[in-house]
Amino acid sequence: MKKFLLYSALFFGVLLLINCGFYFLVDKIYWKGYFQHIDDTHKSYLMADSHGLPLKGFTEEYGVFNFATESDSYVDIYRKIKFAINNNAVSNIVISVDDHTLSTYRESMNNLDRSIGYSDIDDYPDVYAMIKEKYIRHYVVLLNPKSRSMIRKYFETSVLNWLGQKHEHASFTWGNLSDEDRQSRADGRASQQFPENKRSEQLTNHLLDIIDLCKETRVNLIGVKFPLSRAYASAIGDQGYKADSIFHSKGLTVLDFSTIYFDHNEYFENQDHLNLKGGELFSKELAEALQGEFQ
Amino acid sequence: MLFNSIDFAIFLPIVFALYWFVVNKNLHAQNTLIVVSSYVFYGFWDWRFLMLILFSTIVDFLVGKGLQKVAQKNKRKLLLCTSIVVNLGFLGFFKYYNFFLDNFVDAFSILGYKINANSLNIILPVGISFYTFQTLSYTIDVYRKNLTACRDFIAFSAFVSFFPQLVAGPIERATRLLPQFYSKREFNYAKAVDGMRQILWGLLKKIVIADNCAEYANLIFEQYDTASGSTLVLGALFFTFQIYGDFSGYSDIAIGTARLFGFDLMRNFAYPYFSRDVAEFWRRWHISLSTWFRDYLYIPLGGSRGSTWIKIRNVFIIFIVSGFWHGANWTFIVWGALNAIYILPLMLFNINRNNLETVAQGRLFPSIKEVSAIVLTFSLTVLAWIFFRAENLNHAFVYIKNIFSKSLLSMPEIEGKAKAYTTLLLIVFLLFIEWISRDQQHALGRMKILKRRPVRWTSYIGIVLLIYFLGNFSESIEFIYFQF
Repeated sequence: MKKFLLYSALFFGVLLLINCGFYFLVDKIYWKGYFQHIDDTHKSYLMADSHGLPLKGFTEEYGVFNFATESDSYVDIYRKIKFAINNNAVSNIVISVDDHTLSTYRESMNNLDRSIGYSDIDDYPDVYAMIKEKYIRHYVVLLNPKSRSMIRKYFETSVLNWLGQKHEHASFTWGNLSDEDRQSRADGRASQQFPENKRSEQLTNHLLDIIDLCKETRVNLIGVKFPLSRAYASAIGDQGYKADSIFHSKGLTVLDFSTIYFDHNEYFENQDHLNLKGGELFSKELAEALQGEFQ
Repeated sequence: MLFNSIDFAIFLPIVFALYWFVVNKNLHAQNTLIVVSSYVFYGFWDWRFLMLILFSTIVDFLVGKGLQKVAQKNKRKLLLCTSIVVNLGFLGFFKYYNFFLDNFVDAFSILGYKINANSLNIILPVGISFYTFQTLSYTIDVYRKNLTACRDFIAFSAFVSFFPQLVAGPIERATRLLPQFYSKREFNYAKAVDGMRQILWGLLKKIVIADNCAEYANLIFEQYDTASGSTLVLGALFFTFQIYGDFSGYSDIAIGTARLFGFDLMRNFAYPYFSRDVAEFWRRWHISLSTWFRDYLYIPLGGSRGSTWIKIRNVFIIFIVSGFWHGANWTFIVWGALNAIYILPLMLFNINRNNLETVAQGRLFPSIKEVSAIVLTFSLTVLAWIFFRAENLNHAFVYIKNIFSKSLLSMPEIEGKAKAYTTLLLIVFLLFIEWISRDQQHALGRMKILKRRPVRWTSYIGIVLLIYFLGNFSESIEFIYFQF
């Protein structure tokens, strides 16, 4: 038995070393950027997925901390809001209620493996589930399949850089595309984001949890619909999962900016994301609209 | 609990440590730990069905004791029937109730009668076909006086619920496994290390081969009415390796895990795709089920003795029952019948035991004759797998019809070509490793090239990284044989 334990320890020790190497790599390229330290200087937060990213730090000018991250789902947002409320005196939450936010595709495309940093025991069915998700899956990257795509991508990019080649990115300027091209891209995106008629039950429940949490803690919750391009709006038609209707039914405010840049393709990075210029301009529009809404 | 889950990665070392360091001095405690951990293992799916296992265990334990005491033939028969009725009754209800009901309704509707009967929403308890057959082997063997009835309920419970093979086999014979619960297990270094190797290879087969193949097999089987002939052939090939990687991978992990606890389980797969005829294939594929049917059905029916008609009847019975064991669907029955048709000429011409030894023994390369025989057997097997995989008979027939179309000679069309080619390369890798190890119990057994420790360890680390980087970790892909 001693020999078995010794060799097992050695073997698993080697694997542990590899795991540590991978962990630090994934931490550097994937996890570290997600967790943001917030302090008492902020009383208002913007919660969104990638739609909130172009607003960058512009929201800081009117005291709103931009907490948006690419692919955040309502589960991730719920964790963040709870974390913010538990650690700070939060007054206002501005949250995305775009048409795709309750899509089932967000059940798989999200940041659940990253937002664990904001989670606590209440976010899991039991202690075992928490240990498994928050610690084992996080630290033992060899048991976490999502980490490997990050590592693979990192190595691919490093090799290409080393060879003096750059990654081929489909780069285009939305404003310069033809109408047909814009529509075809918008259609493709819409079919990805709206795979079925039914909204996600899991995400709907989390949105309702967010509403309840804000009500309990007397936090002012405001919904916002981000600007969309005309092509994208036409592609989705009335397929939306209507997160805003939940807000309306609960008597909450929704600020709808979805149509304001219909005639300004130059403000868009692609069909449903603003570019930096659009983000800066929209940030001002949002600031004005929020003035009367903040408590 | 799935073998390829984090839960199992946590569960196994804990049980291992308790088994060898806490309860190692007491046989009764070792067996109790096995029962408790097996129930925890099973309870991860659905703890309600633990009652079913417990009930089956109690019934068969009492029947065994009764058979030991009673001498009168009629009473012994009655006791055996009780066990068979209870076990097959559960199996029949959970697995076949809706099938029989639907077919009954269909049959009457053909005759012009309309029967209103609602199917029940029955959840199939995982592994019921496996542990039912295992406990049946116990009562039958005690009835036949091949085995003394077990007097230790805990040891018997451990035999029925032994977690490594509880949900998908190998289906052990009581005569082989039960006595292993009667003596205290001593740790054996060589056995444990070999077990670890077998687990590693099993994980590779499941996560890298089977689950990657599953993605394409599912996709192509869904597009059976629009895909080209060559694409459909590729789909059938992907499924052929999916089911092999999935099931033999599971068996490898089960056998390896059992070895860590000092148990020897029977071999379940012996490189079946290198078989030179279908009879050899069935001696190498799901060995524990094939031999179960041989011992408890085929031989009692008369086996290969008797008239030609009896031989034909017995071959069809055993293969059709085997097909039906896999699932309540006509596709499995046709799959079984097709295999019976394949094997029948070999039986009738008495050439079914021509290929008993390992192919190309002592040589690296097979002869042309051997290659032709392997390719022919493999092709017949692939054809049969189409029925096994299809949703219904129409699906299978249209799939086969569409294979033999003009597009058979075109290039296969498949989404994500790079990944599909990688999967094909992984299949070649699997076949290569298995070919050079075909005289071993499992592929990582005692390969000559792995004699030196640094080379061996590098290979194992390489396999871990291969699993990590090329494995498919979709949570939706369960082990295929769980549904049986």
